[in-house]
Amino acid sequence: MKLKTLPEAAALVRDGDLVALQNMATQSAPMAMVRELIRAGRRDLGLVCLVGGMAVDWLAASGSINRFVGAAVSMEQFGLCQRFRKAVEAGRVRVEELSETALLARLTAGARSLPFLPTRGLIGTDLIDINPNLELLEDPFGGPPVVACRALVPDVALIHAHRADRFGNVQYEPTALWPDIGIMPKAARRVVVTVERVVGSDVLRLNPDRTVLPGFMVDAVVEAPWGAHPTSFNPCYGYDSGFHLRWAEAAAAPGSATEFLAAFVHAPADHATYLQAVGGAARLAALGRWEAG
Amino acid sequence: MALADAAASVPNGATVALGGLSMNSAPMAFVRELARQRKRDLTVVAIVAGMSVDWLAAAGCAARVITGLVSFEGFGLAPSFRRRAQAGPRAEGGLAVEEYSEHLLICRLEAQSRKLPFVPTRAGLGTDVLALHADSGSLRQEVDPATGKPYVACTPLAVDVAVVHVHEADASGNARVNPKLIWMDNEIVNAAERTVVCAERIVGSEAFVAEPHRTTYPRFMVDAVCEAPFGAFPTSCFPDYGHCGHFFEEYVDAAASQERFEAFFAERVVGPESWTDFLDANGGPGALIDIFPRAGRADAGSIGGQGAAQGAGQAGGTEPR
Repeated sequence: MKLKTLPEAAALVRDGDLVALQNMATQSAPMAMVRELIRAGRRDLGLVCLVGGMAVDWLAASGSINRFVGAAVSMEQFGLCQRFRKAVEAGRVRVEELSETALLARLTAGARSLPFLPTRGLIGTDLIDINPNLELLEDPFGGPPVVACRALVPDVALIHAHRADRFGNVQYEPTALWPDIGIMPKAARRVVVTVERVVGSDVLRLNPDRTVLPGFMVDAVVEAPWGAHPTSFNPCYGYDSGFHLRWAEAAAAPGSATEFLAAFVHAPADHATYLQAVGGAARLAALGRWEAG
Repeated sequence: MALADAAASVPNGATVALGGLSMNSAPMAFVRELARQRKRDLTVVAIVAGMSVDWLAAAGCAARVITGLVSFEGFGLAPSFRRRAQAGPRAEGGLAVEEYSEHLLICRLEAQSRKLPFVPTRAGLGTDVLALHADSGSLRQEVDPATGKPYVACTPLAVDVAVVHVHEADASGNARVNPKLIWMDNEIVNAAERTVVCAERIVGSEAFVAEPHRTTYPRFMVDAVCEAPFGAFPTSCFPDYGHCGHFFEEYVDAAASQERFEAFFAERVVGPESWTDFLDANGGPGALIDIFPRAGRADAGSIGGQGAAQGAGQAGGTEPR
């Protein structure tokens, strides 16, 4: 039985951990778990994201992180992640910048227990010079040079998925499959998954090809409907534009950012209360019809 | 494209990678055309194969086989492959065999598809497989200077043509395999310069638009599509049909004598003109009914009816007959 509550599952993330966070700028982020980590007061976390969005901004605003490994942090049309930017500029968060390809190569090397994986994707860029985990290699067979991307093994991977059973078998709808979902859980030591719905194993057996994580790879499953809100979760719901805009406005200054997080992260006692705070059933129904954008 | 035309586009001396496994989803209809057209000096890449490689060996098409395993599983070894491989590359009609593990071959194909000079793996460390390739240098044991950890560097393996068998394709070359059946065909398709797809059925493009996530090979990766119903016969193509145990038994039985085998091969394999003629020569509708999954026959064959069809595949058709 891998079913846990949000606070129980959050205990699998410890102070100082390197956390692989599924994330696209405005899509598919495990936001319910991120809020729980902030509420639990985790400190000194490192983040690994292909592309970070509001989750990274919230964790930076809360002082929960001190390092970030990734290709980009942005909320796309809602602007930059301002609290993350300030934290980096102030030196409170150290950034290891690389391309998405290089990060996937680092994680894949970690998943395969290899010291590194080669790629030709970075040749000619300055990233090789500024990133000690990327190294230009002369090919042992006399071919063209390649960049060795050092293995990266996160302590824990946090994923939001469509459904899982109590044994930890996790399914994804193919429309929302990003490359990080495939590799982060394989590279990480622990895997914590929030899902829209916990279902019986018989439901998973109807479409076994959609099982992206078999139970033996998963340490905890938490049911968190709308758990990616305010990011989108295709095909279930769109991102919450109004909420993004409000955060972008609040994030302009530390004081208003703190007030925003107090109202939406710290005050709600649990995930259900949070969903009420952001507009409740009517608002969620509109997001479910992709009309609230 | 007609099978014969697609096969004609493979020149003598080409490196041809064959999909499927020993008993599953091998592109047999296409392989039969290669044998009929008496191709010569082919290098055959087959991660795991059986009858497909044996036909090319029997017809004298293959000069070199790069493989992890060639066998008929429960039906024994592949007799023609064995005979020519034992004769050795220097003998008349002999065959050179380059042996790897499945994973090492996959890494070589991955290096090719990503245009990398090598792909590292820990597979193969501590085995004698590395020594087999000391001369060619296709595998080399290296040490990572930063960590001191050993690894095997797998060099790229160039493939001229990949041939794979799928359930459905459209006229523009989009092709899809029932998810239950994706073996290691992706690796050879990604690595190959050209890809020929043999499909159980040609369907309209709207089927691909309706379920885009089921497209296994998008059309830009596919150079030719051939319609080949029961095109994996005598290997299986789940959930549509199982392998034909009778054919394997008769083939192995005939191979006990070279004379009998040559007669069998001429009459039953390369002799029939078309693929339909071939199926008729090997039992026709009777044999085809025999290889259908025993339960849920009506559901088999439709990717759309996948849930039921997969159940059917599990219920029957998996045991040798």
